[in-house]
Amino acid sequence: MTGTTGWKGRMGGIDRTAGLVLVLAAAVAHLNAHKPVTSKYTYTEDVYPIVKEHCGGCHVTGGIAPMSLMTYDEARPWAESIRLELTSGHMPPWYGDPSVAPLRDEHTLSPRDLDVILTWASGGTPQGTLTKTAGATPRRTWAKGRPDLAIQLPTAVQLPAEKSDDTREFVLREANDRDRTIAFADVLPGNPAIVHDATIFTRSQGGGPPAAVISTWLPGEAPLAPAAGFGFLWRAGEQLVVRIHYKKNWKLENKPASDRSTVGVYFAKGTLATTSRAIRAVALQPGRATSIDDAMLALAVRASDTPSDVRVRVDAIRPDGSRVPVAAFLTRAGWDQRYWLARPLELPKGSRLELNTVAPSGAGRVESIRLWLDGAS
Amino acid sequence: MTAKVRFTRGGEEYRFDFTFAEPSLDKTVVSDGPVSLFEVPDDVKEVRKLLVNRVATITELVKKGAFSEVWVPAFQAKDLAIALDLRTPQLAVADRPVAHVAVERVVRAAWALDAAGDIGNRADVEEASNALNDAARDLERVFAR
Repeated sequence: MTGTTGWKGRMGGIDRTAGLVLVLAAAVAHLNAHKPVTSKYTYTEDVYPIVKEHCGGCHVTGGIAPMSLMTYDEARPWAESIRLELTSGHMPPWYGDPSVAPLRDEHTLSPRDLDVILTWASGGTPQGTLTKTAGATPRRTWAKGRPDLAIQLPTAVQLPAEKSDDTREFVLREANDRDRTIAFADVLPGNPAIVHDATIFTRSQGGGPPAAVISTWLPGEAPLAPAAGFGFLWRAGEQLVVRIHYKKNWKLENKPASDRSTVGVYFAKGTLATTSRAIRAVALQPGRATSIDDAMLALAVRASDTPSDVRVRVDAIRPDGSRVPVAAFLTRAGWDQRYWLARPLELPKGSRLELNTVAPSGAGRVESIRLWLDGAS
Repeated sequence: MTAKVRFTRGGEEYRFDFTFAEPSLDKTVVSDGPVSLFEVPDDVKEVRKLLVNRVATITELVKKGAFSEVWVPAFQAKDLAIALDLRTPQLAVADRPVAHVAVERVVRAAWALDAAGDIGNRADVEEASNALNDAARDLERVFAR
């Protein structure tokens, strides 16, 4: 097997031992103009297939991302940003740590794919021999097929020119007529360029906290259903609500924008409609153990309104004293999501759950984290 | 183009302006190929040994402040780690995600080291070096079992 270190177009390292501190104020773009092509990977042959598969949910014309990466001309100017986002681990926006406890549906790039894009972005961004790559626009159809219940927002949301960020909440159904089990829910954005994330949940009429959080929706990701046999109970008389976070990218700054999204609800089918175990949430607090009154199967963890770069880890201590990791992830503001465990985890009655948070600096606990363990008895 | 230069840390800043009569007409340079072809051995033990060696080299270079040189062992460490990623099916099932995540961390850290080394940012170089070190240690731990 042959690997290469890659030839590096050096622009002159700074020799600190000479005690000389140089600050080049020249525009990076100027230097890039002279950047030699050192990448053996090209956009059309190597990079495009990767970004199409992993980034095409958002980085398309008219998508929520600030730039499309679906053609060479669109991607090339953003090479430095791509490099920064990938080396920092900010992209792709999935921050689970399966090395602590296995998780479902990891949205990550393989190490090789990561290396291909970074080599291209840092190595002169060659185009390749193919001349065309198909541009793309956001998906306008349901990822998991036609929902059982599709409810459009009651009114169009108007984001005025001066507002770049806003969160709106809508009651989609005032009262459910009977108990129903929901498998999952999805959002079909009316305007994909501004719908950043959404939470779909049930609650009592008249408001109050969510009874069941059915979906933490993010663009570019197909909705995940819990393992067969589990579902979200939407009780008779409860509301169905969606809270949508709107965010304009730089292209839409100082421009008005509107949206009228549709929420799709998928009910549990067949016998699962009546036999599914209802998922309930257990709130956890950093640094404090939370006891479980009844035996339960842990299914997922999710956090809300988190700051960035906090290392979060949930462990369970069973009554026999054994400690088992439940899930771990890194937080990123604006990208809160639900992390499903690869397999339901049995927690006997009397188990204790510990939530540990580590601040970005590596020192101290972050008390402000709000986190829930989703499970079923 | 302007260069701002301090001859001593925290000393007075001198500004040098360079004016070019016209835009450069340099054409894109295509390199003849890699400076060094780096053979990644087939034997996992050899790969691990080389990885430990490259990490030690990086640590040494960072200690010496030779930031502009760290990219060579960093990229080699990255190639070695990617080679190990292909060997994860040999590991116990529970160790595979640990190895996979560690390889990913090595790749990110190697590229971060490369970028930080270019601009001589000690804090960033040390952070990336530590990250690469930690990830390589995790890899060694699971492959040594």
